[in-house]
Amino acid sequence: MDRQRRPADDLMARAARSDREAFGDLAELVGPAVYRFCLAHLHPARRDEADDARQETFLRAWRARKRFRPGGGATGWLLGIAMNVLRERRRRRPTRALGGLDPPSPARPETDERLGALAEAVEALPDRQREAVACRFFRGLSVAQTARAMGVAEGTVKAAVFQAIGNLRRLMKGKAE
Amino acid sequence: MNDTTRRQLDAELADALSADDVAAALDALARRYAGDPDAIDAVGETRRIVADLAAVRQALDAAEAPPMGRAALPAGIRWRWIVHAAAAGVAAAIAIAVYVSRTGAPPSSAPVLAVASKPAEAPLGWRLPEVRTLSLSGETFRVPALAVPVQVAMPSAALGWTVPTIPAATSEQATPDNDT
Repeated sequence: MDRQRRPADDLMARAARSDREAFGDLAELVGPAVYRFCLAHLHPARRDEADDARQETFLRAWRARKRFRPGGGATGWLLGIAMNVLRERRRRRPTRALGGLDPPSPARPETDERLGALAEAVEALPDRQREAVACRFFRGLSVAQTARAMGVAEGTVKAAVFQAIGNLRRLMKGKAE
Repeated sequence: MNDTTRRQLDAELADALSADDVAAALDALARRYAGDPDAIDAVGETRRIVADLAAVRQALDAAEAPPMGRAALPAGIRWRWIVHAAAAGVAAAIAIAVYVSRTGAPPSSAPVLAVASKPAEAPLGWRLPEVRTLSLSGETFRVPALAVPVQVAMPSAALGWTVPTIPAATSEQATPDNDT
């Protein structure tokens, strides 16, 4: 993500002055990262909505382009918008039943079962812990980037991750027994 | 594992989970606590969870991001705005048409209350007091019947008023200062 940072910031700064061409370039550059961010935060049964969530993110970003502050980091700004989109989607359509992560591959049935159980356990976490885990471990964001995307302090992210891992350990132990 | 060691381990686990390379930080922690079976269990479970989360990430990263429709994005926004504006205009036109059809007047001419429709003689809500006859020194007067409310009833002597007697005016009384 860091390699994209400078060009993305420049493109967003131009897009903030209503340069459609620059915004199109930005969408092309950062679109895949935003898509995977949406994928990581959506419920496994709703991951087909990732493209819609990404489109909505960019539409909102375009409408809010005047509020972008150069030097603030375009990708982080976009991920913050994406996070709001995803939160609203989760609130609008809460999901109880869980689908599989991906179709299990016959070669590694045990691993797939464990990963499916883990995905289920992640969904059972409180919202803040789930978001922190998804940012940190499903997307590999740093604590600072996670804090920016979630709109919380870095200390909150650290505490949420620690509590989440503790809860996951307990939940996975419970599933194993 | 005593409480102090557990708290120490928790603090170090929290630090490791906040590191940029979580797996490497947990490996280092595992080496440090190699001689403590309780601690190594906790660190080992955490490493397994983190490794499984990394595997989930790999599965997500393998997903192909569909193309954005680069050129269509800003145009799509413009078309959406146009459609929204047109829909809002139609809705406003319908609302005005419904208003005009119901009131028979365009919205600019607000309905005015017709004064002519008011009853010409509205009941005023009061009436003349009752009159009773009072005889005094052979004269008969018609005076309003006074009623003292029960709540403030008091002896008649304390009412403090009397019917005035008006003596016939004389020329001396009328111009008392003229004698001097």
